[in-house]
Amino acid sequence: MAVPNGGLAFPNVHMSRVIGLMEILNDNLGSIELSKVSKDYLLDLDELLPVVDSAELLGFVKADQGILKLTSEGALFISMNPRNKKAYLQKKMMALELFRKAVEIVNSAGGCIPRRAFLVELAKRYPLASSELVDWIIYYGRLSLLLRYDSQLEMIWVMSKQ
Amino acid sequence: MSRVGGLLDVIDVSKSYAASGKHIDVLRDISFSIDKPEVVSIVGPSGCGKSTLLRIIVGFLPPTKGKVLHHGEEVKGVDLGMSLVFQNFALFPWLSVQDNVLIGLEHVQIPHEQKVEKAHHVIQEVGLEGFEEATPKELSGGMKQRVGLARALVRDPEILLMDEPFSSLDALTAETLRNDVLRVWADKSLAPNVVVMVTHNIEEAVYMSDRVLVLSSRPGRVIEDYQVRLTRPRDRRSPEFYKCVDEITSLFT
Repeated sequence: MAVPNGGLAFPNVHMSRVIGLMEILNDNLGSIELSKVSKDYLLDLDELLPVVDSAELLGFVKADQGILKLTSEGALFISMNPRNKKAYLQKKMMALELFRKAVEIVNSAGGCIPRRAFLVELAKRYPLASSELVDWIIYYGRLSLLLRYDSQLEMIWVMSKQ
Repeated sequence: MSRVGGLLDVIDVSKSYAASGKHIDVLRDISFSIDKPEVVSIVGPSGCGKSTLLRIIVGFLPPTKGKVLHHGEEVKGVDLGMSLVFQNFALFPWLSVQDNVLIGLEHVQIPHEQKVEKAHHVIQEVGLEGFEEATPKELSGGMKQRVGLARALVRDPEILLMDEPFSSLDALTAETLRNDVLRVWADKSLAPNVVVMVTHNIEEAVYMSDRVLVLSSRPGRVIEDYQVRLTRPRDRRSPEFYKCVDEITSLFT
């Protein structure tokens, strides 16, 4: 399994693409060749592999020798309504070490931190951390209702005590 | 001739324009009715007037001839019982997600607090909770289209019209959003009862719709009102699905 984000294990595609892949798998009885997805949906591997990586990181898909399989967690997730998806995603995100550390950083700053300071603190723990990684942390944080972000103020907040 | 008195009646609608001294017929004698909750797709060659038809139905454009009735009342101008989702999202870039959605309630006379509550509810239903303060530049294409969908749903339209809603999205995101639209339509606690969708994707039309209206090339006329008699959820790998796609495709040739 390739590790996204230059070696830092964190999803780096939008959730709708992960869900789209899972729905394709679901339509194909839970299993499909990666090459078939690429061919049928006119997606280059460069475009598809980050989606697969992110789905694997979240535990929703398993990739093995070119075959993609929907996990039981993945099948459960796509059957949920939006509210339940959010709750499930919260658990998933807090199970990712990098995201837990990210939340700790914000909590340590009193629950609120400027984006630039957040990147500085993150880079102390993860030297490969980049502004793009911060974007994905903010995105998944918002999606799972664990973080709040104001793009005008460039401030990150923790939404609830973790 | 369609039976009048249904939920939506399109009666002998024609549309033409004068341009550079020429007379251009875009649509000719379009008639159909919708009288129960269903998803109806409109397909046809490029330039056959599909999007024009949608805009006439929702009241953005007047027909040159004929009329559109919503529960027997002629549609003249924007009808608050209908909402339109655009192909290219049409969001205001300087407004947040919440404020873009609130635009959908601009002409609705209720207190502001109620508008905010309704906006929050539809933002949750389309999966954008957590992004209320985000501006469009922070959103992916799929998220922008969810905002467009939320804005259309916020005033509880009975009829949701969609103009090639997934064509600006990548294949995986489009897959997710199609199922989300079907979920919203099937949820009886949410409006709308009817979805009318323009698409150039026949497979998408068969996957999502109860009926597919096939238009001819310009001037667009209804050449077939195709009933999709497949149970949901639909299996895109089934021979019956392929048969429907083939039958509709053959109508173009």
